[in-house]
Parts: sequence; C-alpha cells; structure tokens
Amino acid sequence: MVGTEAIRAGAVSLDEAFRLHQPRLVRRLALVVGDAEEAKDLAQRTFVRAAERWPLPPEQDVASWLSVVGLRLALNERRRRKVWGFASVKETDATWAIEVDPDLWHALATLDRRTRAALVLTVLDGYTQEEVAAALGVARGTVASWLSRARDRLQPILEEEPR
Amino acid sequence: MTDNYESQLRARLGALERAVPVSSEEALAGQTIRGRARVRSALPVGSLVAAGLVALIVVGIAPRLAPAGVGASPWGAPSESAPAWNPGAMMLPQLAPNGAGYTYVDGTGLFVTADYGATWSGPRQIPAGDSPQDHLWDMGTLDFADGQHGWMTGVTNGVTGSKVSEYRTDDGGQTWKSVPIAMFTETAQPAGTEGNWVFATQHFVDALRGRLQVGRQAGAQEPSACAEWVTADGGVSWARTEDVQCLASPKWVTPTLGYGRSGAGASIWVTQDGGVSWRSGELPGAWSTYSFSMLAQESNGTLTLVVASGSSSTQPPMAVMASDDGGTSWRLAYEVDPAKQTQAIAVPDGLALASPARWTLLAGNSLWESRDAGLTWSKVGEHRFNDPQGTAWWDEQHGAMLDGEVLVTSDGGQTWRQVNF
Repeated sequence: MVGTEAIRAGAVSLDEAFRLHQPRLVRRLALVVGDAEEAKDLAQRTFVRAAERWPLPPEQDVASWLSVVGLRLALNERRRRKVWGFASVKETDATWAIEVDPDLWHALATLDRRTRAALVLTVLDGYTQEEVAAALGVARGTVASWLSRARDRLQPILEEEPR
Repeated sequence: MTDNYESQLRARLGALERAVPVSSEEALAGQTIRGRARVRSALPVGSLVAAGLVALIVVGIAPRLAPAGVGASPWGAPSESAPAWNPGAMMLPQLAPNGAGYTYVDGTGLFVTADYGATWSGPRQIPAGDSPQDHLWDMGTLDFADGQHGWMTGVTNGVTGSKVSEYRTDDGGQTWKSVPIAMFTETAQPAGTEGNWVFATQHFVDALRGRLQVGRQAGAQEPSACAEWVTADGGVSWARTEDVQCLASPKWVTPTLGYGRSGAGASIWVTQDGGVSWRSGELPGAWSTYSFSMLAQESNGTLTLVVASGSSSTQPPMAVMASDDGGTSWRLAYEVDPAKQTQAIAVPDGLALASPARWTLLAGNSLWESRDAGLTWSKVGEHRFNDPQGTAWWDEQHGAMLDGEVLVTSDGGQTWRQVNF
C-alpha cells in the first residue's frame, strides 16, 4: 500500500471500518467509474459484501479487501448491464474533476474501466502487475498491455502542467 | 514505467481523488451498514436532483411511450459535464453473415470488416448525438447485418430529459442518421432504487427488416414488458407493435434463430423467425437455475442448449439440454465432460458454434473442438492463449477471438493472426 498504514480486519469493527474507509473507497471508485454518486452506490454495496463476510480474516488488510471488491463490483456491473443491452440514462456530474485537472480527466475518459482500475491499483495502491492480474482475474500480460496503453495516452498529458 | 511518469501520475491522480465530493459530514451522517438498504436515501432529495440523480420515467412503456418519429423536443444545451465515458474496451468482434463484422476499440472507434476479418476499415466514430445540442451519453446494443448496414441504440441527455434513439448507417459507420424512439422526463428518484437504466436492444434479420425493444428498469426489478417497434425499410421508419417479453441477453445463432431468458423467471424463449414469434419453455429441475451458454440446431431440427452453472464447485458445471418441439419442452441430453469446463464456465463466450456440426471451447487457455455435440473434445492446434475472452465464428474456417487483442483465423483455428487496428 502506498501512503496508507494497513489496518487489519481483526483490529476494527465493521462500523469503524466503514467510518475509516468509506470516503477513501468512494474516491477510488469515482476515479474508475467516472461518477461520484455511482461510486457511493458501489461503496455501499462493497460494505454490504463486507457485512456478509465480517469478520474478515484477522490478518486481512481491510482497505485492500474493500478496494479490490469494490473495483470488481464496478467492472462486473458494467459488464452485466452491457450484456443485457442496458444503457445508462443518468448523466455524470464531474465538475469536481474538470475544475481540478481537465486534461487528465479527459485522457482518463478515453480509457476503459478495467484500465483505470489497473491504474488505480498500481499507481495509487502500489500493487504489482501480478497482484492486479490476480485481483481482476486476468493474465499479467493483459494488465501490462492495459498499463502500456494507458501510458501512451497519459504521458503526453503529464508532460504539460495542469491547467 | 519510469519513476517520473509514475510519480507525476500519482500526484495528479491523487489530486483528482481528493477532489471527489465526499464530505466528512456526508460520510458520517447516519450512514451505517443496513443490510441491503442504501446510503443514498440518507441524502436530501434536493441534492439528488441538483446532482442530476433523477429517475427518468419513460414517457410510456405502455401508454406513455412516445411513438417513433415524434417531433424534436426542446433539447437544450447539455449541462456542463465530462464527456461520456468510453462505451467499452476492445471487444470480441460481433459477426454478421457473409464475412461481415465489427469491433470497437476503446478510445479509437469502430472498425468494420466485410472479408472475414482479413481487412478492417475504420476507425469510424459512433454517433455523438442527434444534434449539436445533444450529446450521446450511453449506447445500448450495436448490430450490423453486413459490412455496410448497421444500427445502434443510444441515449442522449438534454436539460429537459433524455431520449432513446435508434441510429443507422448504410456506409459501414462513416455516417449515421437517427430516429427518436422513447422520450423520458425527469422526476425525483425514489429512495432505494438501483439507478436509472433503460433496456434498449435491436435485431435485424437482413438490411431491411428489424425489431427494436425498449424497457425501463423499475427499482431493483429487471424489466418484464418491453415496448417493441418494427421496421421494414432498414430503420428509416418504425411502427409500434404490442408490448413483448423483455429478454435478458438475447443471442442470435443465425439471423432468424435466437434465444434468451426472461429476467424474472427461468424460462427460455426461442424464436426461429427472427423474433416475430417466440416459444417459451422451462428447463427441468435444477437445470433451470443454470445460465445459457449456447444454442444449436441439429439437422433434424432438434434444438440443443448448453447450460452452465457458472461455478466449478457445482457438479456438474455444464450440461446439454434438448428440445424436439422448437423450445417448448426440454430434457437432459447429457452432462458435458467437466474436466474440460473449468475455464469455459468462467468465459462467457468460451463456448461457440463454428457450425451446427462443430462446437469450439476455450479451456485451459487452449481451443478445443467437438464434432459430436460436446461428447468428446480434441485440441485445435498448439496454442497457449494469454487471457482468451471468447471466440466467434463466421463458418467452420473463419473465426475471431479476443485474447487481449483481436485475433482472426482462416483455417479453423489452427493458426491465428493478430489484427492491428
């Protein structure tokens, strides 16, 4: 984990875990799904999953577990909806992102969810490509391919100062 | 990944992350884990509306659905927002008769082939919206009858609401025209709903004749009744028909043979006339809880349906059902060799039909084939694919696969060539 002290499941109650981790989980998921409200829904569903399994194994890093489960939910929901032929009729309000870093936001928008999930897990959470591959159920080479494609898109943006 | 790239990206992603509107008050104000209750209901309705979180009530699945071809509504300039997210990553090519097919490459566009994947034209852009004032928010299904004629359902949002439109192209996706189909108006979102989704899908049996269904999700329930329109002129005009059963993930074996499952129940629905009429039946016993992997039709007319549990811990994970009456009654034909299923049940498109006589299967990152309807299997070529997500076949020789990249074969899968888009 990058910049985060791991909190083991055995040390906190579920309510405490919710209080400690829900805001951060929402922020992570918002970067992947592009919508803060959808991220809140996904975070809530993640905690419902946690409630069904609580207590987690004592040595389980709670933040990591929540992050991976939340991202899987985000990816699976999209896949399920697309299989059904569903289209969203909800419009994202992303002014919060546009105000902060419009160039990076627009570049991220050209990547698919799985790639954004891999970016978040590697760049912000410090997971290795192997760990991301295991978490998302794909081959390591696939993750490497996603990250390479992401780099092609993002590097030109990073060479400029944020507007 | 260089340190500089990663450190800059980490800093700017971190800044974006910190900007996500999750106030401490919101995070803590009465939000506890309440079974399957939803935190969103703790927020005031006013803030939901302000955030654009509104339930969009379709102007009539039943009496409120506007007829196709209604006049333009007062779509104003869209509210300030990010561009629509990309509709998907690189996808398994969707195949049409006579060597036609298409795929969508994330961030690049639509590519179309008319020669069994040997060459691809593109990128073409999917429609951005009906007018400069609209913008496409999301797409439903995309369907091509050949290399030129294609259709797409899409949702555009304006300040007064949203609408579902049917887009069509007759030049391989270079240009698109649209017909508005369903109109939506906004209203406050009921607490506890699953979000705002519309089910919109279409199917064409050829370049002229097609059917389009639209349904709206009500709360957590998947839609049951779908409004239906038909066209006989390639989508230029549409006529409303009676409401029909909404089907989850309808799949088409041929332009006329299709099948699907109703969202609420375990029924299988089968059509052999391109969706004009459907027969429904129930699978016996526990098989009704299995998902449908593939439908095939033998030369004597018998339908065979492969069902999978979706879990390797369920025994058997996969079986073949048969129907001799067009899909009304079903019986267990046999259980498929579970040793070959471990991966196939995890790959939605892992099982595919190259022809009625040749089934293929992705298992153990290799491709297998069966010529006796799944009883025995043999490996095709000596491949070790990375992360195969599915195969699709034009015929026994010509097929496509998604394995991180799109691969195509012209020798039945003995050799594969990567497509460089």
